[in-house]
Amino acid sequence: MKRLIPILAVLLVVVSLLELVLPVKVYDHHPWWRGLPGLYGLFGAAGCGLLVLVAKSLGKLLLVPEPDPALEDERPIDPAQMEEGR
Amino acid sequence: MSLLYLHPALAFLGGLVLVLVLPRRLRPVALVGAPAVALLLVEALAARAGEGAATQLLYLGQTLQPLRVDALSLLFARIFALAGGIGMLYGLHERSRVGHAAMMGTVAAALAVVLAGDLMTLFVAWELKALATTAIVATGGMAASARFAQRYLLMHTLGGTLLLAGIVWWVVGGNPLAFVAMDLTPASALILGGFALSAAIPPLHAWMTNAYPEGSPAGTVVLSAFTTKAAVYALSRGFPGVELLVWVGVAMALYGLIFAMLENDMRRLLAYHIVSQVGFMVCAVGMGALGEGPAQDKVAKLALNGSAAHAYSHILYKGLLLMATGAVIYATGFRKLSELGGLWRRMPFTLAMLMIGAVSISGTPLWNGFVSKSMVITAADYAQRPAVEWMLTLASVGTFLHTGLKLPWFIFFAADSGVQPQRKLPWNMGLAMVVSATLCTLIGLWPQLLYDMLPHQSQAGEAVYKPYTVAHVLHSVQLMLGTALVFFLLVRLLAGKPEVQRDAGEIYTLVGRGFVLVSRRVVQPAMAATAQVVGAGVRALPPIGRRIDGLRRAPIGLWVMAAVMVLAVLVLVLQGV
Repeated sequence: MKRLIPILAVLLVVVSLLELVLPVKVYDHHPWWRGLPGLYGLFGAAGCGLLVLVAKSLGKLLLVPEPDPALEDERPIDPAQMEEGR
Repeated sequence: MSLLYLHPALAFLGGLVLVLVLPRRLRPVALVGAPAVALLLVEALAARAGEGAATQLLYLGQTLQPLRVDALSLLFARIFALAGGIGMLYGLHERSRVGHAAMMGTVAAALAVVLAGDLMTLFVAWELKALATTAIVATGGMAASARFAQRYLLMHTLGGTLLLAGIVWWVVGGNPLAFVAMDLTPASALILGGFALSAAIPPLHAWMTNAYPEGSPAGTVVLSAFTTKAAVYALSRGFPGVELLVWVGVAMALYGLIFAMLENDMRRLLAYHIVSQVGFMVCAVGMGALGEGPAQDKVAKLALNGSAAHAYSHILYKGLLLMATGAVIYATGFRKLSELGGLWRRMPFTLAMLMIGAVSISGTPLWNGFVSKSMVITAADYAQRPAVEWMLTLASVGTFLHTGLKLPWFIFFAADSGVQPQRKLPWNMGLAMVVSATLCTLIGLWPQLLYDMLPHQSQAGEAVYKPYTVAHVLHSVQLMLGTALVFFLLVRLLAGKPEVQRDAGEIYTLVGRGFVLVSRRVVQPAMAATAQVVGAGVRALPPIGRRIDGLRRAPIGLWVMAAVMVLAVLVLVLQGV
């Protein structure tokens, strides 16, 4: 697991560089910065970070501790119980 | 010429009857046979499509079209029959007779919806689908099944009422009963509202996120394939190019994502994710405005094709994901991410199936998500709508993040929870998953298999959509690598805790409480006063004998109801005669 992050980083750089080497179609209506190699990698990384941040912030607002199982009905399901269909 | 006997819903209706009467040992015959027959019927219809396979019936002075066959309805009919087969196979071992019957009914109704050529048939099929899917939820065997089934039914009754009100208003306003693209008027807006509820467009989505996790493993697989996708079909047929849908779709795509990321229950996470993916489809429908010039037509065709292609792929890979997580629930009894972890050693096959579903949904090259989801994003690109394009791309990042990375990670890897599988998976569950996984891969490798079924085929001289371009492959791989990198850096922050989240369901509780309040303070006193007056009048009549006397004391409401029912039946029968 510890080696996973550097491996991913290296792969990302390699694939980004491939964009320079291989023929990539560019559309007339695209602004100049869309042709930059690694743009999508950056978007993925930044997007991921943003989404995690938003999720954690919203979590403070929206998440409540799970109700006491003794009061609520959401017990883990006993596999043996599920054999009985209705 | 009537081709009604070829209607694939009949195969599932026959299956429903067989499931109810056959002894348990023979039930698999029906469960596997019905979808097989249905698939044959669909192909038979497809072969006869050139004959203008539109069957017509006259009823109540209106022309009904219970069977309308064209490319769009055939595509949905095919995938529905197929998904029905996979779902039945997966659920072969489940004991509940009613549960199986409910699944059969659902597929039959869903097929009737997509093949309906007029609004009345659509409505009847829609309501039957609501009933059948409610039965699936109710027989789910989970602790909260019955409770959420009730809410589910209430919400779908509301949706059905909106639909009916809209249809009646629409037809009374002078529009034909045929189910074709409609202009947006107050009447058709009600119809759109009915469709939107079934499509789980927020805030009308809570029925799905509450109910789907409470179905049985097979039940939820069947549920996921039909209700929302039939609604996507309906939107695609009735409201292509409605601009509002573009923004609703984008909002849905991001909304579902945020809640999926917070979710601890595996299948509720996937249910929120359905909201997100349906958002893509809804957005695509919104971009599908045909007849506004060649440049816009190019966008619209790609968008509508994308919506249909994405629905097709989504049924396959979402089914696979729900099957894999259903298998984890079946084997271990646990459904929450906070309770799982370290299962990779003990359930490697399920992990492999989950990963295929995960890479498919994330749009990895070689699988079906890559060749379908991208059509929608590319359509936004051609339409020169960068806001839409980049927000949908962000939604793709989020999809990969929580379904491609978080879900498998916290179930199968992460800190070992010590959870052991309590029992082996039955062969049929494994086979169903393999079938789905194979189809996901096959379509990814040979997208033409899917593209040949799309409603808007390229004419001579028009450009054909090619998913495997250098740009597309490189960009997709980069996107995923970037997301994965940050995921593993932040993974500790994403661990699930035993928490539940508030969502739109809270609004329903508030509305419900308000309703009860009004009822107690206003409606009930009014009804009591009326009953007093009427009762006094009735008691003033001379007694005509003891039995009649007893009837006179029956609740007034019962009398009124009985009178209305008798009248209604009389009217329907006499009109048809």
